[in-house]
Amino acid sequence: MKGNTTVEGLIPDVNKATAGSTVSQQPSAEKRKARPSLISIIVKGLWKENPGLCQLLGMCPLLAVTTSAASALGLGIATTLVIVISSFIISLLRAFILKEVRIPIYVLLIAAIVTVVCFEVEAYYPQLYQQLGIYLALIVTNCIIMGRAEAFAGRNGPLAAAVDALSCGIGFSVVLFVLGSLREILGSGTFFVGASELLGSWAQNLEMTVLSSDQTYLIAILPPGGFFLLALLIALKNALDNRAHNKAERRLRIRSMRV
Amino acid sequence: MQISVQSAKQNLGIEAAPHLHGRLSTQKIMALVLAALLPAYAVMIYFFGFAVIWQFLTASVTGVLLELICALLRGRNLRRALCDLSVLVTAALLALTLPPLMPYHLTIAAMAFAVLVVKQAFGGLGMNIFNPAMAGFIFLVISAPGAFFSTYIAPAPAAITIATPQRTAAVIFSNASDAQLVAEIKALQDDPDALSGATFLESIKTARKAGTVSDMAEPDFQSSNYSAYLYLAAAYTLGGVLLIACKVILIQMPLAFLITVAAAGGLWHIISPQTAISATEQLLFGGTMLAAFFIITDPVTNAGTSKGRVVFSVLCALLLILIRVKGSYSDSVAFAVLLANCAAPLIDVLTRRRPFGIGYKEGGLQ
Repeated sequence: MKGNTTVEGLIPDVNKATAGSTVSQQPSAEKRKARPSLISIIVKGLWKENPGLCQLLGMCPLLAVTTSAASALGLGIATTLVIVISSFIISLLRAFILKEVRIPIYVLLIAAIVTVVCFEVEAYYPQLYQQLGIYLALIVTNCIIMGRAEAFAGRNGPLAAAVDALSCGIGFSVVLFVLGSLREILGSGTFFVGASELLGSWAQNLEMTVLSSDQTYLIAILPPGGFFLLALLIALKNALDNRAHNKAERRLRIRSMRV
Repeated sequence: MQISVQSAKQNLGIEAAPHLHGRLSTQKIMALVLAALLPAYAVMIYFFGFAVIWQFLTASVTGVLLELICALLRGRNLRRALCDLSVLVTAALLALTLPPLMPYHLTIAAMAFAVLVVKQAFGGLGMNIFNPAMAGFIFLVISAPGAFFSTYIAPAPAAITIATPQRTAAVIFSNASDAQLVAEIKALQDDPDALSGATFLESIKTARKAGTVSDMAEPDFQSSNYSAYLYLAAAYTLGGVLLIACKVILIQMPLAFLITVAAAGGLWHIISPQTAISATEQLLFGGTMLAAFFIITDPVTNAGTSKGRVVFSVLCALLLILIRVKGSYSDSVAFAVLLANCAAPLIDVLTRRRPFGIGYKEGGLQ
């Protein structure tokens, strides 16, 4: 339910911006809309419109890289880095970006930033680079980054854009990390293996074996297991969000009409 | 709370009106299916030992508890949720397909997956897209492939004398070693060393990859090594005949399925005897007979129209042969059934019968 509202909220904005004739109407529409507070932006990014659980953007890396907690966290950090830098720069440049050619400009900017991050990871975390493989370079096509640039950074100030990007990136990383941890624990019986390569030698203590190998379910680290666990996480979030509504509905239920 | 459009469609099929009211209720159908499985259970107990009953009990207790929990959470009538017996049919089919000595926690996991994810997440009885028993089986095949190698019993006559309730319970529930039990049952066979793996299909897997299937000894279904499969097939057929006689299943479905398996399997064997086993072996080994009478005839997950059900059976049989010859798992019935389940809605649409008087070409009816 919540996911729908997000997408509906996104689409009219995009349409408005793409249609050339409505460009003149846009300032008035923007003026009418009150500027969102930073707190509400953070809450939206972390929970209400979480990119992983509500917007369902960036599903490819979300499901492909989350076979272990460490690689999930690595990709989450890289994505957050890219999204913050790109949103900030796009927001700064938004006065100079022509509406008609904004998509190619966004893509060029994001591609340049991803290339830099890619080289950085390859130089300093070679093991992580190998683990993430093609998905690191594919951040450039990650819809979350494009989505934030298009829906938020292109029409808000640099501070708001950076806060929005940071909260969305952290929200996405948390979902990646939770999914990665669950899949790693259920599928390989370990938790956070490879953390020391990512976070430094102190993280050696975090690596542990939770389940013995005959209690694990291999399906969890295979693609179907990723879909199952993501679906369960989304269901959990919807259940938490609709708690009050469900309770009221249950109270109003007519007991004799139980089917 | 309310009967939705989909469930009404599923109940009536999508055949055009007029419809007749059938006297069979869901509960009666499920009870008949359980009764039809009795001969198969008798054969299983005689040739494979008592373990299959423990598997059935574990699966059904798990299933009933989970159904109760789901009914509570969804505000359904508890008595109705239990009285339809469908969860017992799922448990019975799952227990027949799993290796008899499977550790109990894996059986519980498979049953939980079948009831919670495959059935209840889609809306409960009558709404599931996939066959719960087969999906539970695949869940285990993929999750715990190691357990399948060690816990399968090679059948032998009078295995029940060795695999007594106490000994099988020790293996299943208290994690005792199963190697001793499996070896003792295997010693009852005429030729205990005929196969390298636990089952014929498992042993043939490596030969299939290497292209040396024709070098393997032809199984003799009269010998005590393989007679179990013959009796098991006969038991499934007996149960199937009972279901056909009670008009629970259409006779066209198992017929089309078995003929297609035999024809496609035989053809492949003639074309390339190095990679494919013969038609008789395709029919008697693995879950072919079980699938023909009990799995593909599941009223919920197959196609809705009578013509569509035949198409569904043929598709399922072709997939079965294809995956069994080319796939990397030893048996393919479950995979074939789930893939055919995916195609069922499309088959429904493609085989819809034209209601009388609708859709005639201009000038055709004047």
